[in-house]
Amino acid sequence: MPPSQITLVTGPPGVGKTTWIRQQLNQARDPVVYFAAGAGSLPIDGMHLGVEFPHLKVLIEGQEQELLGQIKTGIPLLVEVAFHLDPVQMQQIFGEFDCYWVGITPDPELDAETYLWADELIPGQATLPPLKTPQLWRASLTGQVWDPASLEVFWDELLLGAYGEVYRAKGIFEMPEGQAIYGEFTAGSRRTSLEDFDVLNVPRHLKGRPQRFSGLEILGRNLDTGSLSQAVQDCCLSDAVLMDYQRQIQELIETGELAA
Amino acid sequence: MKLAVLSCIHANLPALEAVLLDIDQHQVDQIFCVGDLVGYGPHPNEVIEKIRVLGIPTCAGCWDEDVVDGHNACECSYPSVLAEKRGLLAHEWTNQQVSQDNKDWLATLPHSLKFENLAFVHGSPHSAHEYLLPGMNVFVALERVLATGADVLFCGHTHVPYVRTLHDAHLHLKVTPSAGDPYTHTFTAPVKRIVNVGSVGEPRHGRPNATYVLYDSESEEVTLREVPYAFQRTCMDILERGLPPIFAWRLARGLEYAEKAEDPAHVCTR
Repeated sequence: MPPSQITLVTGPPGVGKTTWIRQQLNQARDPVVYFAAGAGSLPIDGMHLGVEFPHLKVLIEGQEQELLGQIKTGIPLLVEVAFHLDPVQMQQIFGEFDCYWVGITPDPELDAETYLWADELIPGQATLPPLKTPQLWRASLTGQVWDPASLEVFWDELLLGAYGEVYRAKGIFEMPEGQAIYGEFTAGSRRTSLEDFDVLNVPRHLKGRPQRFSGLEILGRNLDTGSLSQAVQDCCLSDAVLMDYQRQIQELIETGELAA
Repeated sequence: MKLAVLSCIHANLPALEAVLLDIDQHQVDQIFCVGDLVGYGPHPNEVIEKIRVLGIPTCAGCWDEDVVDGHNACECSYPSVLAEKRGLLAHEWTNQQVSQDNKDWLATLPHSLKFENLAFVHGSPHSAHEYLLPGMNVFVALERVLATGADVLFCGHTHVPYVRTLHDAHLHLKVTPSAGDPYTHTFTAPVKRIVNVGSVGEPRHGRPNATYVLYDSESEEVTLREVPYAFQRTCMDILERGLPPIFAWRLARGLEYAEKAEDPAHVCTR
């Protein structure tokens, strides 16, 4: 872990902030707090990391008081600062503490001046030039369960630009088999499909609508948000279909054909 | 005799016009159409009227039936919940647009057509909703052709053209009746063919080009035609007439408006 109790990491979307945080957490044995600044109430990365690292405590925006309380206990804190936040804004929360700033950029030499405030500059994934007028579309989908075949069609359409230019997309999706999956895409890198998605290590949910967090975040340009919302809605299962699915999965688990 | 067989126009007038122009250049004696004049596309009335004016013998497609009888597509027609919702939306839009006169005409379309040793159906001889996929079980496929009494069965519905030739069909049956002696029964069928003619207005081969088939009844040669057309016109009309923009986006990429079932082992049991 970096030398300070509070580490803030920033960089353009898709550069590898979460990947870097994952590397730090792999080395940490003691509890760590993770806070995603600028993620709003949609903690996609937080949920993903929280599942992977049981010793991680995830806090979301709105829980700043608890965050300050945690700092006082001396617990290490990792803050992922979204690309659209000016580091100066972080002063409001962390101004009185000693912070260690990490900048991740595709080209540290080229960007050294932009990241003058950084204590450490790390080379990350190559990304496309930042969008001039980026648009951020977020949908909290907690309680919604996707039809897998529809998600496949929708994800393909999304990445191919059917709903506007997509720079970065990531989401956590609930599946009818009771699992939650995580998928992501960054423009300029390989187009992903459902086969690339991670199955999160969470218990199978087979009783009604899952109440744990799921959602979708898209950063892009000229996004047709009306069509996006409609398509997402059209991809999710009705109560009746979901109940039918869950009953069938329960039967498969009871007969031993599917692992619980 | 030279025939042209069309299918799955799906209310795409520019595609139909381009195909008719292409047919004109091939000295065709007779045109047949195996249905789905409407559905998904923006020109249902224009396409019906064009086919009516030209007097092209046509059998009813599943979409044509659904406009007459009400939405009846089986769930198995749709590979996803999303495709089903889009299909339903297209059905409702089309149902509102098609004039009563055109609906009455659609209601007169037969389920199948026969011409010499050729048969024409939309999906299969059993149902306009059933898919005869290229990988379908060979006995089931043979049964479908035999059911028509023809040697060549022309169909559409899957939007992916193919020719499947069934040679040397030979069935040997041993029957043991409850009373009397066992006996054997043998059956042989001459060469039978299934020709899927693809889709004029909603292709699914990754390019927006229209497809149809030319058939020479003497040489028995099948020629698949792929015809470019101004799909942008159709896309503009999709947007202007209030259909979902995603239909235009998919059409421009040869992806179909909503995808259809792909499982060759699946036979609709409805």
